[in-house]
Amino acid sequence: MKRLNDLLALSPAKFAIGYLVFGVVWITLSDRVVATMVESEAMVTQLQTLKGWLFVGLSASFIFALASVRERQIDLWRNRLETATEELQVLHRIFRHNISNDMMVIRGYVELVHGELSNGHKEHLEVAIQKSDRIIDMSEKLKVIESTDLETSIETSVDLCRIIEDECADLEWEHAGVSIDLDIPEFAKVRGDNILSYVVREAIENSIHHFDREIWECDIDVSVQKRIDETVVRISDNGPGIPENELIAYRQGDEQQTTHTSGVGLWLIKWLCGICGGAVDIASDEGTVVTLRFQPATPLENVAPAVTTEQVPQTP
Amino acid sequence: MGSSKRGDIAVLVVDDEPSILQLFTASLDGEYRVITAESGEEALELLDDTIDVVLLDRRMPKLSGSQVLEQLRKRGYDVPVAMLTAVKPGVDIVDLGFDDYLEKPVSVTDVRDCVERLASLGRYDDVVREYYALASKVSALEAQHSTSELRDESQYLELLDRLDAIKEDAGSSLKEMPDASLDQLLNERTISSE
Repeated sequence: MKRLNDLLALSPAKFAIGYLVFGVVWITLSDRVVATMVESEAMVTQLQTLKGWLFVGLSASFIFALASVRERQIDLWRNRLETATEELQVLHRIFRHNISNDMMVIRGYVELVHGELSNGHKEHLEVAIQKSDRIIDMSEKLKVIESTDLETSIETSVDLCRIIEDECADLEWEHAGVSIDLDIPEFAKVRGDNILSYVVREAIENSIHHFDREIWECDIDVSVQKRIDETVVRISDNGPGIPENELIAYRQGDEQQTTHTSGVGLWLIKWLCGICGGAVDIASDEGTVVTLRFQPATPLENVAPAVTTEQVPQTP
Repeated sequence: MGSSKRGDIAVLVVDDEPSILQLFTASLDGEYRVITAESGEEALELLDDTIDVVLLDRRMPKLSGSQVLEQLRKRGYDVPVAMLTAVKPGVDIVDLGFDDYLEKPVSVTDVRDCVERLASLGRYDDVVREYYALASKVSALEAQHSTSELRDESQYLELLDRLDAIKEDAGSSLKEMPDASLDQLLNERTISSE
């Protein structure tokens, strides 16, 4: 059985060549055997037919065995991958939870001491508080990983335009002075779930946080373009752009270098888009342009009209 | 700020993490009488009429914060309770009987402000207190969920309607609120959630 498994685990090319060689040898050899053993022509025809059927039967069993072995291998790997992903999510949750808790305690004590010190000594502790806040902020951002469902993200669809409208309204309210211009169609159903609102928010917030002039000068343009095979969101700002080294680190997927909070944010955008079957491109020249590409939920002509913002269900 | 009799106010802090109990004790000590409990069971044992404010961790082994809260209300205590949690709030919090919801990680200042507000809540009538609790729930939910997620949750929409209704009812009482007004609280919480 093991030998059979080994045989079936061969690479497709080797397997095909093996089968070809076997076929050629079988046909020529068996033809010769039949020719030498039997003389009656009717008998030869009968034997040839039998031989043909035998060959077909043998081939069918081989194909069946091959397919089952491959299927079992795929199942095994899928199980391993699922377990590994689950374990990673659990590990991440435990690790992140502990970091958050410990940082809260550390920050708390620093804050207490800070309150008791004279002005001259406060500066040092302010750095400690800032750094603690950064770690806490990063840890909070990574929370989204725990609430991400890898399976539903690709199987469901959402109206991207509604998400963008909601998030932009929230962000304009939270960051008074920022103006966000929307150039979007009425609706755009894409593959994914509500996790996409995190992606949109993170991308726009990134622009706001890195804006280095007065906040009311901050202009952000968000556009959505529906194409046959993809829906493209373009978020551009008039800010200072993203530092080159961070962009390089981001493009190479090198998380070790993405030590900045914005780096974590960029990485999360990329990751979350990826699990919804989308892609991200970031360009930085004068200002930053983030391009998000998503898969349309259905071909363009079949998209059902989305629920508009006015139709919020009202409870009495 | 506040009355001179703060030392008389007793705060019960419940958390299964000793380092957090120690930090809160250090933060509140001197101004309040701090009593700590490391489990839900211990909290219920320690609870009596002398406790003025409860800070309650939501996720604890055995008896959870939500269960402690339920028990506490069943026993007839209407002491102001702040839920303290690292758990993302779901719409289930709508039915929980707490007055405030603090999300970990919290700063020392947040905890002090919260205790101060809860301690002063006792001085106002039930309408104000309900308004405060509803406002806390709305802001806790809004801090953790996007508008797109919340707009289809009937419990959330109901909560908003209740908040609007009570805002009108409580109009006169609300004018008497101390410096940290509720609207301000609501705004602060939502903004800090970015």
